[in-house]
Amino acid sequence: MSEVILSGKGVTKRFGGLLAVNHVDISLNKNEILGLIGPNGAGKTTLFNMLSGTMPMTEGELSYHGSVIPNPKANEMCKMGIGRTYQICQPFSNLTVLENVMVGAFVRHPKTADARDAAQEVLKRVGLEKRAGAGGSALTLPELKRMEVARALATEPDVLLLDEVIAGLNPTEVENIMELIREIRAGGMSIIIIEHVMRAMMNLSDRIVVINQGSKIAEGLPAEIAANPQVIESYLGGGKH
Amino acid sequence: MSKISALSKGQKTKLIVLAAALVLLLAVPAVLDLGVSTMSILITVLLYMYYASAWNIMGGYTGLFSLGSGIYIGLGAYITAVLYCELGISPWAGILISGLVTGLLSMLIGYPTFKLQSIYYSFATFAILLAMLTVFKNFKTVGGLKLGGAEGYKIPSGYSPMNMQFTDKLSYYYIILALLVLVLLASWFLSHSRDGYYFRAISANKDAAASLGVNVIGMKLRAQFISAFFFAVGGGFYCMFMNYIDPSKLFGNDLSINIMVMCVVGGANTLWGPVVGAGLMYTVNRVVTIYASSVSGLANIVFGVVLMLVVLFMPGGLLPFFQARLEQRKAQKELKGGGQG
Repeated sequence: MSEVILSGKGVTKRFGGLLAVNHVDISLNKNEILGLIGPNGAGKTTLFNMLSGTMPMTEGELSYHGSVIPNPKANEMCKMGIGRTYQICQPFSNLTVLENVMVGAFVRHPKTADARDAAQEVLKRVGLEKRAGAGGSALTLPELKRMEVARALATEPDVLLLDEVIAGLNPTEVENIMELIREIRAGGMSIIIIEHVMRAMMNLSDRIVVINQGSKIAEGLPAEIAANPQVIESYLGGGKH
Repeated sequence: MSKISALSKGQKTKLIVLAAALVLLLAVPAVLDLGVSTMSILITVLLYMYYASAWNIMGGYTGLFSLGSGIYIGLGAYITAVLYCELGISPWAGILISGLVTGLLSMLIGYPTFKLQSIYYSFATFAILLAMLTVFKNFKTVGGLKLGGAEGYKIPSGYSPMNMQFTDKLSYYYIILALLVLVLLASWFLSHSRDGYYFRAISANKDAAASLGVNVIGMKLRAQFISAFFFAVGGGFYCMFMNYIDPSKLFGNDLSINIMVMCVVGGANTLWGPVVGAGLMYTVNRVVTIYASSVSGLANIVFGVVLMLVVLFMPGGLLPFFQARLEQRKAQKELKGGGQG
């Protein structure tokens, strides 16, 4: 049994009368790529927001390296070593690409010069070094997605939560970013990834968790998930296809 | 020295221009006798530049669009005056104490209001400003302490450098010039430090900033403290310069709105924008007041028109607009040069 690095127990979110995420148990093993899939509106991003501390849980408990996080907050989770990206890219439009990444680097390198060096390294790693001086809002979509990843990487996390970094890219770009994700994992990080592009998910993930209408309906190896009748039904809508 | 030699050519030119400007600002009023009214105008312009730069730290860098600068300026003035008149504390120490106390009070205001979305934060600060105006206009005494109510607070003259009271205007001019240099230095260091980057990240997107480890509320409190500190010091200086505090001026909405507009017109989120904006808007106001004094309210109309033009055609403010133009021209030149070579 490999070591569990991040886990959520009974994670629940209620928006008024709507149960967006319903008692989901989820755990991420060390150096694993865990895929999180589900139809639109299934509650994947909401679950992600709770796992990263961006949104408070209505019920449930998060543990990191075996100890419970008492009151998860986004900035503290980041300092602990949990980084995340956003599905809709959120660049700091008043800063350059390098400065965007520096904001992430400051968590580990409080001095400006050190943060700049660290950020430059990360930009090289994600292949954005030529765009370092561009404005945060002047990037193309694939570049934006890379910058989102770069900012999160600059916080030097153990766990990386990637929210749809592949969706919207063309096949070459998909290949490139998948390669990047594999490299990041090879560097020792553990990754949870939300994605709609099924081929990419089946390819990348070691394990997959399927969410539908706020609840976990399946969990297993990619091949098991692909053959799971419940998953096929929730994705393709019964036996019509 | 090694640090200076490491600077690029552009940076060196900038430093030389700045040094020359500072020497001019220091020497001209000392050498030429500019007269009392010109000196008063210069002091007022520098004070506005100082206020606009102080606003820029929370309003420009951090996106805390405050309409309540007067809260801190007024508090700084009253605290300095009371410390001086009641306890005999020298205003030199008084402005520092008032800066620190007002900074702490600003955090009390900040904590509940930072949770509000931007425009509601502006409204909240404006409401507090109006409340302060009412309080200071209507309470003649508070717990035995004379505040003067609507008549204002009079500071008895006692000419002595220790009391920050001078018979000449030149000394006040040098004090406010030093304060302006101080707030600009603080802004420069901030904008090149971690806090400065955090401020700007929060201004652009606070959720993304939080996910990158930024303590959003903590950083906003810090920005507000720094701005309030500088405002209060400015207020303290102002009351010693005037020997008098008029609550409807300091807590009135004109001052707070003017400070915000000056910074935005010049270019919020830039070091020199507030200086340029304050200089321009004050000059426009002055010129219209002098040459068209027969038309009452014209100065306000012109002020409004200039603001509208800038918002419409130069949304980032004057300075960023012209900087972008300059860079564009440079890039075009390089492109042409490259084509020929």
